[in-house]
Amino acid sequence: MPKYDPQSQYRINAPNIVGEKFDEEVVLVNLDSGIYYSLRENAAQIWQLLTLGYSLAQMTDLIQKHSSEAPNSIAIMLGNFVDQLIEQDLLVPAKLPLIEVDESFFNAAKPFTAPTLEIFADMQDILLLDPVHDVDEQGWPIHTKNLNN
Amino acid sequence: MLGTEQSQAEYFFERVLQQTKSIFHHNELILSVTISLCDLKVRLEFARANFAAQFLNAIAHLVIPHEVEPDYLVQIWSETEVGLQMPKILGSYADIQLRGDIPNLSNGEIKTAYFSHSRTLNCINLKTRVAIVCAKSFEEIPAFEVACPLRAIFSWILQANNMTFIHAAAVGNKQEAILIGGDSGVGKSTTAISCLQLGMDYLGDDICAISLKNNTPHVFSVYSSAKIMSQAQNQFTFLRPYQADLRTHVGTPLEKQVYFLAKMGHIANTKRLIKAIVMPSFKKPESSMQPFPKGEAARILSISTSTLIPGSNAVYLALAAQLTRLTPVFELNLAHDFDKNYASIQGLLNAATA
Repeated sequence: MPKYDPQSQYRINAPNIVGEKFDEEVVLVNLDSGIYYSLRENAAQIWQLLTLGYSLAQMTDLIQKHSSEAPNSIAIMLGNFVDQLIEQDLLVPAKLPLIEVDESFFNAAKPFTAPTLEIFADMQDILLLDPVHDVDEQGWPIHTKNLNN
Repeated sequence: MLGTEQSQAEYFFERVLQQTKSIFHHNELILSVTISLCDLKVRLEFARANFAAQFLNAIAHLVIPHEVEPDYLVQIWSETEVGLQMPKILGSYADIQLRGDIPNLSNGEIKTAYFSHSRTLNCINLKTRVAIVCAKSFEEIPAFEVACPLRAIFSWILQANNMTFIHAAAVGNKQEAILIGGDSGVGKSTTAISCLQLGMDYLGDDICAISLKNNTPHVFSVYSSAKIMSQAQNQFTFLRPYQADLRTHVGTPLEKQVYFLAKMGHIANTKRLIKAIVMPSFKKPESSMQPFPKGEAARILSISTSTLIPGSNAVYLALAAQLTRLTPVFELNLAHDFDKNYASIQGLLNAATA
């Protein structure tokens, strides 16, 4: 069941999510979970369109003009991607003024491929190893082993 | 009644401060040393002289040999040596976050963190510029902490002055340096130490400090220690006289040997302009250099820094982004022959600035 609405606009889920844009990559971090995300090439372009106020339907129309892919196929690729962004709490619905991009936004030489969201959960691994939990809740900063002495 | 979050942080800091004051007031064995931390004068006072070396070995190259007025004061004591209990936290262990931050006892001016791996309480009042470190016992401080001590306190001081730690090695000449980034185990230490062996200045193999003031990236040495995998020790015999004796420390990592290099030549104690960032890899057998995507470099630097140092992921990402925008980034494919890696890094230092 898709989570997106093709007519809806979305914005970055600030302040929990912060991001930085580079030439061909957008890096996002969820400050609650410590999970980092990377959106490259197509994915970075789609993210930028979303932040400019494009709905899924508008993005599909726009990309179709610059791609040989069937509209239905583009809509599915975009829908799956936006679903992932919503699922990861990176986007929330919003009302935004649309800022339209010009023709130079797309590189016509590159075919449109499915955008991907790369997830880096390194900080989650650290959480599992966190030595803080060696400390017992009965006393701080009393180490668990000392309570048994 | 403790009232607001801000007053809770202030109340706790005041309690720790009063306890610390009484210890230092009644103590005749205080050792005081002032260091230059990224051009800031930081006085370190130890309640017992006998454990000071554990903190000073890695930062001995920063010691200012004459009396100066400090910008910050850090007072350091331990339960075992002083015979007084560490202050109890207001709250429970669940308030201690990943990386040790305690948000309930922190606000804009006061920062508090507890590290259970070293059993140290760290707090600072950035307004009064006084910091306190209380340890359970200095013998319980793990060896890896001895190689880069006081990280939390230094990190807070740096961030209050628009600088920050970064998880990277750095080597260079008298004016410029190359940052060597990447996750643990990627070859930062080996590359930095082999460059030191071949004559470059050394700023650190794991954690350095950076400033991006006026959009000009500089790197500072903070720790002149080095950590080498035990199986690689024979490749760096020149380090043997500087090997640390950490047998008394709990949790001494058997896989790595620690060296304190402050007395060696070529240890930098002044800042260097960052000429480039290299991200080591092992994709090919020969040493080679190619441009590396800046977004990927910023993400790697940000993640690896935030796993080592208390602070906000947002700050580290913004900093890494700004740094990589200001500085060329290259992937350095590491050859087995150290001379070739050295030559690649020397080539970057010699290259005309774009």
